[in-house]
Amino acid sequence: MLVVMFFTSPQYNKFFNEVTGRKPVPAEKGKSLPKKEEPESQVQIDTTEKITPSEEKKDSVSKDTVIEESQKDVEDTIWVETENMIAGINEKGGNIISIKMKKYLYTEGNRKGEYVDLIPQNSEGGAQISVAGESLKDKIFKYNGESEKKVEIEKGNKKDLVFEHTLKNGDVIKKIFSFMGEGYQIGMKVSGTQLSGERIGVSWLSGIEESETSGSQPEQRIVHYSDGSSVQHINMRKTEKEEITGNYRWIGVTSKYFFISIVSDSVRDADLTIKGFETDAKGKNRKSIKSINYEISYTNSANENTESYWFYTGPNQLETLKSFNLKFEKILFPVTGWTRWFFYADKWFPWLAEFTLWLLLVLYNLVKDFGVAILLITILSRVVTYPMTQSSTKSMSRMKDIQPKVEAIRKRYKNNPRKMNEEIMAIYREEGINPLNPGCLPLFLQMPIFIALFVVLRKAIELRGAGTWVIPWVNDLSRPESLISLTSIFPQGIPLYGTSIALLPIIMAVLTYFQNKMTIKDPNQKAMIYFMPVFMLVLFNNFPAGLVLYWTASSALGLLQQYYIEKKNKKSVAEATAKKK
Amino acid sequence: MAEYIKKIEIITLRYGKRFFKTLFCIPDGSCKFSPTCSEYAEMAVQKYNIFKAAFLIIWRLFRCNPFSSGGYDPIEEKR
Repeated sequence: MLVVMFFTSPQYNKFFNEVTGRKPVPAEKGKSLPKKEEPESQVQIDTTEKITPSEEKKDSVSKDTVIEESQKDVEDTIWVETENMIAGINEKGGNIISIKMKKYLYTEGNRKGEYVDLIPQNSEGGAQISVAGESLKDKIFKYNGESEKKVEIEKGNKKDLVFEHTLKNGDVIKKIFSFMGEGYQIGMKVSGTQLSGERIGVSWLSGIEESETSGSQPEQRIVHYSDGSSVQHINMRKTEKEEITGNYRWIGVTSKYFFISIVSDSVRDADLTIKGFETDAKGKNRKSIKSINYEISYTNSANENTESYWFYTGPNQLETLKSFNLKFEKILFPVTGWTRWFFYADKWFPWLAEFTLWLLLVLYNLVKDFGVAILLITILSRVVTYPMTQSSTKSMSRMKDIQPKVEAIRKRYKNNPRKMNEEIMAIYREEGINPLNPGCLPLFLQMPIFIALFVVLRKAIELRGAGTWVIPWVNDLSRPESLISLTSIFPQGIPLYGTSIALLPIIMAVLTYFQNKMTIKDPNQKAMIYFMPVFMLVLFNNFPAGLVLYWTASSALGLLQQYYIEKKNKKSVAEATAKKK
Repeated sequence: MAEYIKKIEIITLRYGKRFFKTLFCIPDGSCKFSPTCSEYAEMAVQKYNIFKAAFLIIWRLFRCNPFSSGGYDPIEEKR
């Protein structure tokens, strides 16, 4: 029961992503109180200001705006703008130091309204290469193009950017990035004069930055890698190093909504090195940000001097991920940790969650409103499980009605369990209750659907920034609803409850109250009638609004079902007694 | 100490059960077994360590299906 309980509880979901014992950060803090709370905002800004990295890095970040200022001897950053992203490539190492998502903006924090950047600020960036075990991440790769440091690529066009580095022995190594006007791919070719037969590694040293600062888990510890047909996930601890050898095609790491992956052009014998580490930067809670870097290396074939890769740097959108046919979509719902052993959850759960997400998107395309789509999917899930639950609920209700009689028998035959059992069975027969009553297992079969919806509504990027007319005061279904902010009265928020009052959880608590009133008959548990609604209220107050909408609708439907069955039963019981007379 | 742990286990169990029942709209006193699943669970927790108890409880919930006849199923006779 404990395990099952845990599985249903939201704790499960946290566990699902392997949170390292961190409480959800109350929403809105950074947004509504940017100036008042010095230390708080200080912490947020410090990613850009407190840590003073090497000069040129700082320079490269602000380079965006000051291109005219000629700074000799300093590595330039070349900015490439396509339909979906703006990427910055620094000449130091020829590393990608910034990937801005033009279609996604930060919704909170001190960068609110800016494009989401997948790469942590002031980090080493990604796309480093190494040749024969020697890393070239700090070597200067001169940009071999026009003096213009800003490149714009229109939709349908393609452009290559060449970066060159001359080794001590005179060999030239080229990093050729190719961008397309659309999509989320960046191609990279490594070519040189002496590369045949060499071991060439590509790494992504900065990891990925979490785009959401509140309400969600800020650190991702899961690395995904694949041979193109199946995907493995590993959960990294703080300072762990993992080395894997085998035939692999790609490796990547996800944040809540985004994904960066290094993809090779074919499945080949590869070495994967994955390292967990802590950066100098501090997150919102002043804890060091944990990150992951990884490297994939292949041996170049004997008569080739080039090696091609590409990077996926974009949103975890189901359709987009699926379009590559590389099983990218499997990164959406990984099952890791001990939950894998729970009825082979890693075999069926990702599939179920993916299907649920697909269905949600289909419904969305029909009605063009995610709130309505969620309501529809709720109704649908209730309808699908109806045959399972109906007979269970029905016979349970009947049994509940005869409970006083059973209780009396139990008291009478307290010291003779066998006799007690016989008597109870006799009563069941008398009342026309099938001894083969379905029991509660059919009800538990709903659970996977519950959990799948739960996970999908938490992780779907499609819900990010989506409003609905069902609950018009909510403008983002992926974030906790806040009808009335409490920050002016309680700057820190009410413990457990959070920093704002949300309406849906209150409706939900009221529903829970009625439901408990209907189902709790044990006088010893009367206190629960009042406790559960409060518990639900606290629990759901900081959950994403879309999730709460689903849960509220679902419990409303459950209540309705229960109510009708009870009404029907009363009627049939009355009829039966009338007949007997 | 052990007593306190048992107590915590039982309280967790009760609240967990309530949460569960609320979730799935399961009315009280509708179990086809005697003792009921909740009573059975509490007895299991009192009698055995948490792992064995958890196993017994899950096993009991599994038996609560259309193919079992229900009825008298006390904890003493099991294992």
